[in-house]
Amino acid sequence: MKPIRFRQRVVGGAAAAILIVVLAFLFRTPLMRTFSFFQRPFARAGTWLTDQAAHACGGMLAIDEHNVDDLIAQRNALAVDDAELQELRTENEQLRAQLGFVERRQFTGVTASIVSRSASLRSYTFLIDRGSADGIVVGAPVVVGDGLLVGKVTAVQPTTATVTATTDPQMATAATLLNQTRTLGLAQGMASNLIGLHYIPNDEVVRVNDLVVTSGLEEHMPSGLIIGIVNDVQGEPTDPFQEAVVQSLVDIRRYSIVTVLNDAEAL
Amino acid sequence: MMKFLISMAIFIVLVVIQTGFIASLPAPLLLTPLLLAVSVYLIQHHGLYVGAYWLALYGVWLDIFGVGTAPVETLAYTLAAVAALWGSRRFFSNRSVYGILACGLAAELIITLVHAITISLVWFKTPASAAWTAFFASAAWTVFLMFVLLVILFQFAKSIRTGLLKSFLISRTYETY
Repeated sequence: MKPIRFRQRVVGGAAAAILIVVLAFLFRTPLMRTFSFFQRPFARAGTWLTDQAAHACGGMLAIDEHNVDDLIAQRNALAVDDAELQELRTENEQLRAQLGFVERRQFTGVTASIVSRSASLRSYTFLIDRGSADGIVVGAPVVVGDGLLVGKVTAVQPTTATVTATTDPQMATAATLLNQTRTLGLAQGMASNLIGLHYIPNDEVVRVNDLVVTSGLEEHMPSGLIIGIVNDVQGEPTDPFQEAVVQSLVDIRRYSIVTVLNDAEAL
Repeated sequence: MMKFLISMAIFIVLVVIQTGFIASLPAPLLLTPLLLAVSVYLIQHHGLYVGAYWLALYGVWLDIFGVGTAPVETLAYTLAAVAALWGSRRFFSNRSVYGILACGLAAELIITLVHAITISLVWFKTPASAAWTAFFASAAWTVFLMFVLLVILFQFAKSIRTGLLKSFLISRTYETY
């Protein structure tokens, strides 16, 4: 190819690319709305395959007696906690009634579909098909099921929003450990499906299977959303701090629909 | 104009499949770099510039939609496109599968290097948050899966050339491999 024609093609191509980029940024909202429509079924198909693969792997794994004993012990401990929880709930309702307590914060849920995801083992973000037009704000929690936190909204457009998962190394969430002293901490993503709870004072008692929930100290974030369960506690007795490795109870890759919680006061 | 519209339509299909379907698959299949493999194949085996434009546009797409794996994906993929173009013209002129694999490896190494640099800069104060083990595991799996895709594409070279002819991306007199 002649050098002049080659140069013309490169310049022409670069000019076309720049024009496309500029138009893409100017018409970002309708573009995202359109592509969300086409990506949604593909994302659901991929998620379905992931869910089937997870079921198949779970069926192939044999549960040995040791695991069964652990599971039974865990269930029994949870049953005791549940009983205490029921008692506390009743007591709380009675006290609220006596004090004439008024609910200061209410949350509404917006259901959204996941339309695309990042492709990485290190970081995890995904795009949902709801945005600021539906009342979604940056910092809003994203949950599945009955309050299992999967991430927070980190960017919002009129018709879409970007969510960063709690397991992403960029994401940090104010958390409370449901131990005896209700230790506060910062839960930071560690890639894979793990979250690290750092700088826990060494004199705090942290045990495997302790639940970690949101503390409610962040704007737009209610307290009590389940972040995960303590998998391991690391630290030497002589260290000033210990660290807890928390496993998320949710594998977001197996879900194609999530709920974004909106603070009614902020709307 | 027809050529431009058809190439944009193919690009959109590839991106929707890449970010919608493939990214939702279980690990490590979610790391399959379909668009990168197709782009590198077109650049190296058929000498088509459209592959380079697709790579650069894909970086822009990831930044616009916010589902990139590292900051500034536009920079990473644009440099990869330039590297693939330059490599196919200067180094990997052999139209065998080894040249195609080498070109693909060069493009992926550029992307990985730019990601590593940008991640290092962003997490300079808290390097543990960068999760380097997962980062390099992702890169290794991406290279492996890209090699698999390129070998498959190479096997169907004649069919792909026929498809390119029918979609007006090349003319009958255009010499490729």
